[in-house]
Formats: sequence, structure tokens, C-alpha cells
Amino acid sequence: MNVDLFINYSDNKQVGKTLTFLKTVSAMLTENCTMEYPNLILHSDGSVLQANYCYISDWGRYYFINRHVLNKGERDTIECTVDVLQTYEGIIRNFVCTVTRQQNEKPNQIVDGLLPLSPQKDRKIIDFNRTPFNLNGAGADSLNFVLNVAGGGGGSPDPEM
Amino acid sequence: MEIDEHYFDDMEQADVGEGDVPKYRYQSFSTMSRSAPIDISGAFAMQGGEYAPYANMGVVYGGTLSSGSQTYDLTQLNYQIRSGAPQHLFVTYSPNSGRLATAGYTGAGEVLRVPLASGYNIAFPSGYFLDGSYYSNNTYKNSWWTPALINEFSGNVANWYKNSLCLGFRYATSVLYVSVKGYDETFSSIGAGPLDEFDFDVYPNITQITYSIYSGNKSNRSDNVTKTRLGCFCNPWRDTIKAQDVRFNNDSLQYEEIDRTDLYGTGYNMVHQGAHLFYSDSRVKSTSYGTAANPVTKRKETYGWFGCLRGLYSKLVKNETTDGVLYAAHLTKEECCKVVSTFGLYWTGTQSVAATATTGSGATDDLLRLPVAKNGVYYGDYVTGVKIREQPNADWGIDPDEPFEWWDDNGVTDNPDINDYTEDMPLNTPTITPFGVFNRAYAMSINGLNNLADFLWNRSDTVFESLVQALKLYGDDPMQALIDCRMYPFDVFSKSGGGVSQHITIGRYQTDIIGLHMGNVSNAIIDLGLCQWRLYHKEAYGGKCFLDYAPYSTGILYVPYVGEFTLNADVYAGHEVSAKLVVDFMTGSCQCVIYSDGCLAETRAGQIGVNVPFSSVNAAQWASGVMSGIGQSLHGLIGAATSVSPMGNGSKGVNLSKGGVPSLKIDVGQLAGGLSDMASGVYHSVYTPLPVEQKGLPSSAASQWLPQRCYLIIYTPKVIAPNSYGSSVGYACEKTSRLGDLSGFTRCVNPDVTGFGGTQIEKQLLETWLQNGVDL
Repeated sequence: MNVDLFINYSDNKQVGKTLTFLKTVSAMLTENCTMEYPNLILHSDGSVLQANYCYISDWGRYYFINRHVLNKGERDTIECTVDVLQTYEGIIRNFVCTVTRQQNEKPNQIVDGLLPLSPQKDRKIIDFNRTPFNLNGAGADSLNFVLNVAGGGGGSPDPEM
Repeated sequence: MEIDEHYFDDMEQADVGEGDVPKYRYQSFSTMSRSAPIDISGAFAMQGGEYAPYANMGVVYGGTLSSGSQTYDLTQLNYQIRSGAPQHLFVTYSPNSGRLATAGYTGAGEVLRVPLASGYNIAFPSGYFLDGSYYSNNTYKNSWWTPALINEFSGNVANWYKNSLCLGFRYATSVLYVSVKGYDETFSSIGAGPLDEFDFDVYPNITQITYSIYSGNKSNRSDNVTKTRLGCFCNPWRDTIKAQDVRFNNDSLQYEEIDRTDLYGTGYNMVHQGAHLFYSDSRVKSTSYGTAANPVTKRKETYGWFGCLRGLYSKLVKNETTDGVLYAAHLTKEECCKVVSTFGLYWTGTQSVAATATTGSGATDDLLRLPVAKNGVYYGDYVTGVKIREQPNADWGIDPDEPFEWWDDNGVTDNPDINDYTEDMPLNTPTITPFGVFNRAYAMSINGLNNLADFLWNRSDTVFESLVQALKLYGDDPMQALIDCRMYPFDVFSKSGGGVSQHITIGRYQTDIIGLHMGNVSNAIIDLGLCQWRLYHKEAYGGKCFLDYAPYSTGILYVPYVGEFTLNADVYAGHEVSAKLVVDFMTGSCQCVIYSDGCLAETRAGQIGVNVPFSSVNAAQWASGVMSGIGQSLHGLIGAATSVSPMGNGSKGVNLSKGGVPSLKIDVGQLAGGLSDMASGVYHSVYTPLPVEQKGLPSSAASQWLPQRCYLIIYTPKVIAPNSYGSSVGYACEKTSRLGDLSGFTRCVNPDVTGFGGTQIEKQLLETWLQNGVDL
């Protein structure tokens, strides 16, 4: 089968990767293996060894090349793992999912236990807009005292003086 | 719950606002008078779905109605009429008297709710309004056609109507038959049913079907009343019965002239049963004969049909004393169907369909019609046949074992919310206090007090002896006459509302020192001002943020003479924080009232008056109280650091093992799990407030040296997320989104991969990727 070899510089978790095409080579399966984790033998040369990514058109799937195993006779065994994010990019983008974390969000009403916070808090001191007391300016004639004395009632006592 | 003429006396006119559930206005017919015309203006329509889900005119359930030998099973009715369509009268029925007890109407935009315990309502719903005309006194006059449904609801209605029934009736069938043959049923209210003699004087605005159509004029009961021309009738089914012409806006209309020979009956105390819709070319017939004194009812074919009440009853009552008229209008067939459909009932124009059609989820007959409501109001739309099955009202009915279950559908409750909700908790202003009762209080200055002390201690022996004599009432300690003296940080005279300048009198002894005698009402309310607790992270991030609220943000409020205490950010954040101090001149204590957006949130006690000791005993007692009392706990940002959550296990890298079910390959998830609750861990360790016990009462004297105004100290967290945080961890959100509409790092929970055609292993890989996070 034909295998398209690429260099993948994108992060593995990227949906829709940027791939640099190297070459198309012919390859065979080494042994019984799964479609998701195939091992392929192909002729080894310098450019082949640069590849870290491939596409098998017969299967319609993209693969990470986990490693190259160099064999005698300039043979290169590549051990692969299917990349579902690249293979099914179109389908994935049409999924409607419940998103719990997103790069372009900002801190919001959702309590985020992962948000790193400084142990030191910002402090803001706000004074109220009113100072109702007069101690700063009161004098000896300021009526700041309440004297409670015995007595009371409605009438006035006979003056004693 | 008894329904009588006073039941609705306290109803108020509705203010129908958007989203409001308005009240209603109701007027008992017992208060109406034909000499005082009722101005019926505006329009309303009955709200079906929400309040009367089973029928536009209401439903009768349970209850007992007895009249003569008849006992009818009736239940409560509750419905609402809301704005949107022509106004109508409605009538309620008293089970006790067997009479139509009350009636009312609603004005424009009003909502009417008529709860009914045991009785029934005759309601006149309308969702459709037509212009029409009537002929009276040889002239044509404009009128309104206001479709109405008058139904007698009872358990035995089946006996009278057979197939002409409304949804929700117990023991009733469910399809209203709209007769094309006109009204063949005359029901005499005398001795044949639950209605006794129908008193025109009491119910002047009810249109009756007799050989004349009356507007409630009692004098027309005579057999000598000339025949009355009815307005036009519209027959969508084009009955072939001959009709005469009337005019309506110069259009030739059809109407049936009703005379006494072929009208419903000769009884004048008759009320048409069922809904009546008059059709052109329809002959209104009756097989009832008899005399005015002894009307006899014969029933032949029972159909419910629609009738019409006039608008502008006031005019008709006032002017039309001899000719009863029925407003009518020229209707097309479809318009007739719409009129019928405004009642929200299953209906059909075919008698056999009314008798046999399957309703509800099994409906198939194209001749069976079910009205469709818009926001609970029927405006005339309807569906037929199998489309009926899709409608929410297709299966409405009454379970005899659960007769009140419909309350759950229409908001009626037998346990109404009786709470009075408020946005304000105002302070009180007492008109009497214990202050100055059996004692005297004077507002003094330092100079005044020094003068008094000089008077007491430094005057001549004669003065001193006189003073001691005057204070004998206090036994061996005349100093007991001086109760207390306190200093306050404000002018007590101005704050207390004033006083009278007079000689200070101690006991019976009047000194020559002037003081301002303070009155009985002495509590001073001191406004400490306000500030705004801003949402700082909301301002930074452009939307409400959890960091602005507890436990991440906290506030400490310092109130002079009270102390400092923690304010719950959930209560105050984003709101105006204000405080007032209520001073008690009797004890020198104070009560601080703290508000959130003007609404009282909490109170705290303090001590604002500083005692001025008169003697060693007095001073010792006072100091002891200060030193030994147990004060309130203070909460602050003091906490011992507990263990901080681990930073995580680190990434294990990609494990692309082959064969079998793959283990978790990409360990961002584990890393994230290790980082989980980092914020809460940090915060829980550092910011968990620990209570601090304060020993001793706060010294108000010392408090005078502390700040003399309120301060709000807000502690709010700092986010130290690196620039790469979004692309590596992402920010929390909870939303449903199409992944193609997003970009950047994205994590999902329990992704739904419906439509994915890969192998099972690939599906698992995909789900793992989405849950751990992908870059879109």
C-alpha cells in the first residue's frame, strides 16, 4: 500500500494539523496488527526517517509515527497510532458538546478551582462619605454630655434658693 | 368557599404588566342597575391554557348543586380572562339559591380570575370580534358580535345536551356539536332544571332566547310583545332554510325572522342552554309551547350552540325597551369556525361526529376540530383530524378520582402564598421612650458640668446643707441623686431633637446652673454614610466573576464605637453599603444598622457613651464592667496555613501502546486533576477566617481615639495565571457549543460523539481527547 509521509509540527491534540508532506512510499504490514496501531515496513532513506506522521489512503486514516525501527537491508519499520483528531476533523467540528474549559473564556461566574491565585490579596480601603462626630473640633461649650439626675415629674419643686 | 354577590367586592382593577399576573375587576350583578348603564369598553379574551386548561369558559368539577329534586355534581372553576379580545360578561351561579348569582365583566386589558368552590360559572369567552349590526326600531344600528357561550354545567348535562358538551365536564362527553339546524332546544327554567326563574331585573344583561330576544327588559315578558327581528345569521354550511334579508353596511345579509309561532318557545323565563351561534339561513325553531304563566319545555334534539351577547348593553338597556335584538354579523364559513374555535372546545358541525368521534391522542376524524391556543388564548385557530393528536390540549379531561388535579395545570392552588414581600425594612421612630421618665436629663457642656461641680462642692456651707436636706430621699448617699453622666462624640442636643433650657434640678433642689432639658424621645439616629462595594473582577473581565464573591472576596467593616466585623461578600458585593447608628441615651450603648442597597442586612451592638464617674464607687463599677465583660468575636483574615493541594503528578507523556484497549494516553487530565482546586486549596488554607475572641467590653473612651468614620476594607484575590494558561488549561465555562464554532484549547465533558463512524477503539480515543482537551 501507499503511505504518505509527513512531518507534523502541530501539537498532537490539534484538530486539523499543519502537515509538511515528505513523500509517498510503498509499505507493507509487518505482521498481523490492528488498523489503529499498524506496523509498516518501508524502504528506509534519509527523508523517510524524518517523518513523524503518515497517511494511509487505503484506510483513509492519519497516523502518528511513534518510532522508526531500523532493520537490515535499509528497511524501516514504523510503529503507528491512529490520529482520530486529524482523520475525523470534519465530523469533530460538527459535534455539539458541553464545554467545560475553553481557551478564550475569561474568569466568570463559574467557580474555577484551577485558576491560580496569589496568596496575597488586593486590599482596598474605602471610607464612608460621612463623618458625623465632632470630637476633632468640639470645645468646652459643645453639648456633648448627657447628665441624668434624679427628679422628674411634671411639676417644679419649690426653689430652695 | 361560598360564592355570593359580595365575593368579589374587593377585587381590584388589574394592572396588566408584562410578566405580571394581574388582578381582576369584578362587579356583582346585584349591584348593577339598568338605570345606570354599564359602560363596557375595552376588550379581553379568556386565557385558556394556563388558567383554564380544559375549556375557555371554565370547567365544572365536583361540588353539589341542588335545586328541587335535582342534585348536580359541580366542581370549582378557576379561569382567567385576559386582554386581547372583546369584552364579555360572565355569570356565576349560586348553588344555594339555584340562581344565577353574580355576573361581571372585565375592562380592557384586565385579567379575571373567578375561583369557584361549589357552583359553576357561566362564562362568556371570546377570542374573536366582529362588527355587525342590528335592526331595531326600523333602523339598522351598528353593533358588536361578541360570541359567548352560555352553558349550564352540571353532572346531568348529558341528559340535555347529549353530544353538546364542553371539555372537562364530569360525566360529559367531550365534543360540542355546532348545530346547523339552529336551536331546537328550549329549556324552561321552571321546574325542569337547576335554574329557577330567571330574573331579568337581577340579570339584565343576559340575552335570552325566547320568541323575542330581550335585553333584559322585564316588561317584554308579555305575550303581546311583537316579534323581533334578529340580526343576520351566518350559515357556513348553507342550510337551505329560507331567510329574510337584513342590511349590514348596505350588504345584503341573511337572517331569520323569529316570531312566536316558530321560535324557541313562549316562555319568557328562558335562558338558552348551550352556546348559540346563529347562522344565516338557519331557522331557529323550537318545539316548546306553552303560556307565559306555564311554559312547557319539550326537547327535541339537543345541541349546544353559540349565542351572542350584545356589546354596549348600556345603550340597549336604556333604549331598547321593547325590541330585543341580537347583534349579528355576516360571517363566512371560516369566520364562523373561528368564532366557534375561540371557545377552546372540541367541536364539529356533524352530529354523528359529535357522538362518536375519538378525541385526544386517537383523533382521526377530519370533521372533528380542536382549537389551538396561542399563549393560552384562543383566537380562532383550530386543527382537525390527526393533527389534533399533537396538541397539548388534546387529552385534557377530568379524572373523577382526581377532580382537582387541573389546579396543577392552571396555577390554582388551595395553599396560596400569603406572604407579603418587601424590599424595605424601615427603622421605627417611637413616640415614647423610658428616657427622662422619673428622672431628668440635661444636655451639658464641659463648662456646664464644671459649673455644676463647682456649685455642688465649692459653694458655701449653707448651700451644701440645703442640698443635703433636699436629697434626704436618697438616704445616706445623696450622690445617688446624680444618676449618671456620659460624654458622646456628637452634639447631643442637636441630635436628640432639641430640649428646653432650664435650671438643673437635682431631686427637689434647683441649682442655678443652666442645662438643656432633654425630652422623652431621645434616641438619636446618626447617619454614618455609605460606600459602594464594587465588583472589581467583573470590571476587569467584563462580566460577573466568582472571585468577587465569598469566599474569595471578603470585606471588613469598621464602625466607630462598634468595632470591625466581616461582611459577607455574597450579601454586599456589588451593592451600596451604608450604616446608621442608633444611640441609646439611657445606657450609652448604640446599635449599628448596616444596609445593603438600602435594605437592612444586619445589626451590631456597641458602646458610644463614655461614663463620667461621680465617685470612687461609681468609677470602680464602671471600670470593672469594662474589664470583665465578654465582647463580641472578631473575624479577620487570620488563619493558619493548612496543606496546599499538590501541584499534580506531572505529565506522563504520550503512551501509545498498541493493542487492546488503550490506557489514557495524554495525561493532561491527570495533570489537571492534580491541579484541581488549587484555588480553593490556597484559599481554604489562607483565607479561612478564624474567630477571635475579644475579652472585655470595648472602651468607648478609647474608641474616641480610633477612626471616627466608617471604613470598608475589601480583600479580593489576585489572579496570577500565566499567558499560556488559556491554551494549556483553559478557563472554566459551562456551555453547549458546536466545536467548529470554537477555537483554541477546549475541553468537554461526556462528549456526545453521535455520528462518529470510527471503530470502537477510535471512539474511545476520541472521547479521551475531547475530555482531556483538544486544540480547535
